[in-house]
Amino acid sequence: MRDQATLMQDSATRPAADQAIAAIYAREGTRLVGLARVLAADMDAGEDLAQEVFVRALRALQRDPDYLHEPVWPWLRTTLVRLVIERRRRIQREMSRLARVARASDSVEWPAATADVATALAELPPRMRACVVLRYCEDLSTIDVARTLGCAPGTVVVQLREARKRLRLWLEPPIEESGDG
Amino acid sequence: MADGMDRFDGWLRQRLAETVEDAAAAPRRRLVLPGTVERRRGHPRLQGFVAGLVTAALLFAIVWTALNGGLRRAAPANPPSQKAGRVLGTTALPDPAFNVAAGDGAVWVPDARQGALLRIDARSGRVVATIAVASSALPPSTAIETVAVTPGAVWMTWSASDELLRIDPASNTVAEHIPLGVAPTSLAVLGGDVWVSATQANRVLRVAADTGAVRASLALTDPGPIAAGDGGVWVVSEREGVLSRIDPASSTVATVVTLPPGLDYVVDAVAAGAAGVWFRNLAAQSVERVDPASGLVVQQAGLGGGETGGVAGPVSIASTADAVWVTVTNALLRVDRRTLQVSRLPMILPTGVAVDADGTLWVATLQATVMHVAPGKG
Repeated sequence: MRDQATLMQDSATRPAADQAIAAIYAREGTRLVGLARVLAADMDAGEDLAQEVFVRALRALQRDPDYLHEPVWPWLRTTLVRLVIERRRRIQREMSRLARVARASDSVEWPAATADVATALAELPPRMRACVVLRYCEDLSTIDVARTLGCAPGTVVVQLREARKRLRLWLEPPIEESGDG
Repeated sequence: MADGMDRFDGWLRQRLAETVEDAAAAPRRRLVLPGTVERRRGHPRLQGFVAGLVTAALLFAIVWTALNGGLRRAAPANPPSQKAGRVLGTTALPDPAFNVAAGDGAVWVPDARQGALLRIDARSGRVVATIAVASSALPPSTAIETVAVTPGAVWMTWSASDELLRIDPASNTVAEHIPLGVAPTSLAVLGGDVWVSATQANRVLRVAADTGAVRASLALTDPGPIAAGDGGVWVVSEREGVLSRIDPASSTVATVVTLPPGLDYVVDAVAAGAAGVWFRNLAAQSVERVDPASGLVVQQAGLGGGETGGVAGPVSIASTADAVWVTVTNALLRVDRRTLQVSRLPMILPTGVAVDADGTLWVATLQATVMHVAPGKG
């Protein structure tokens, strides 16, 4: 049984954690949702993922108020990427999609201007997509991408090369290409 | 060519930035954040229906996953102990190291920045030779370097060069440049042959170690990590979700393991040896053993993710007679072959791991070190 001091600490920590997470959301929420939607290549699944990241952050802060340190963004991003490539979460997202069949009209459409990119990203395997997004959107080095994904740098190089090849084919960039590079 | 890629990269970067912007600005349908007054709203009956549907689907998924596990004897992620091994010594390197090979009293570490292969004396732990293997330094981000050792030769590839290099350990010089015609990804040695996977070219090449002749070129979709032992050459095809065995007697490909589709069964490292054929599954944070005869996954050990604020993802895998060794972000893990118990030796950013002839381990790290490790008993 927990003692009174622990209970008092809990009651003090919870509102503080709530406030902290609200502040983080106010600052990084929009950015994380955008990144999550692109990483998931799905508007709704991206929302689920972003929400899960904040839930994890809240739980962590409730356990330990000093768990997150500034800058918080790398932690949010890493946690998000791990969720994207985690099998269990994917199963859950698939189930969420099943559940949404009953209310499909609620789904958020991708804006027409970038729907082609979103469609192309959706065709990439999740980890390859994560490599592309982390490298090009987050400007991470190959080594940092590898650290974030938990794989060898060489794997990232191969994934990026393959992704570039596919995206160049699918997106038909309006620039002259002269090789595979 | 580089200019074309630069322009494409710039264009792609711009389009992706616009896409993220659009995604962030699009309406949010149902994001609920902890710590805010907003809560999910909806019709209780509909919520109940959805919850029921999700529960049913969850049960289905659990049963489906269990059935697909076949003969697996899954082990939970065990609480790690400190019995994985002990560090015998640490060698400082000029640059971060991604790969390592050991044999004949020496340890070999490619150094992409210098375009060199470093030779470390296994006994003293000192770098005793820096062998120039590339005409110029290669940026680490574009060079996948792999290295393997056979008696009397060290074999090495760079992804930036369509060559297999043979280094003579007697003279510490590059003895032969063997043109492959494809960009190599990974290599393994079996008997008198060097096997090279080439992801981009969708080929696996068999090169005779004595003559340097390409004896066979096999078509295989998306071949990545490759390992040799336990009666064959084993190749991971990540995109196809299969682990293929090549029969060295006939140089034919036989697909051995087809991984469950659609579940992010991400396999990207394989090891073959006395402990059998093991691969690591990044998605499930596990290492799994394949029975070569049946092609079934017969053992699985969970490595445990752990939320440390960083990523605890496996990076490399090797096997000894009684254990499988996996590097993760902050440790070298030992998975006992018999009990599947996982023990750990903490270290920072380990990458490649190699097993020496005496059973000790050499671990390369991104901290620009190579660590010599005496294996524990778990």
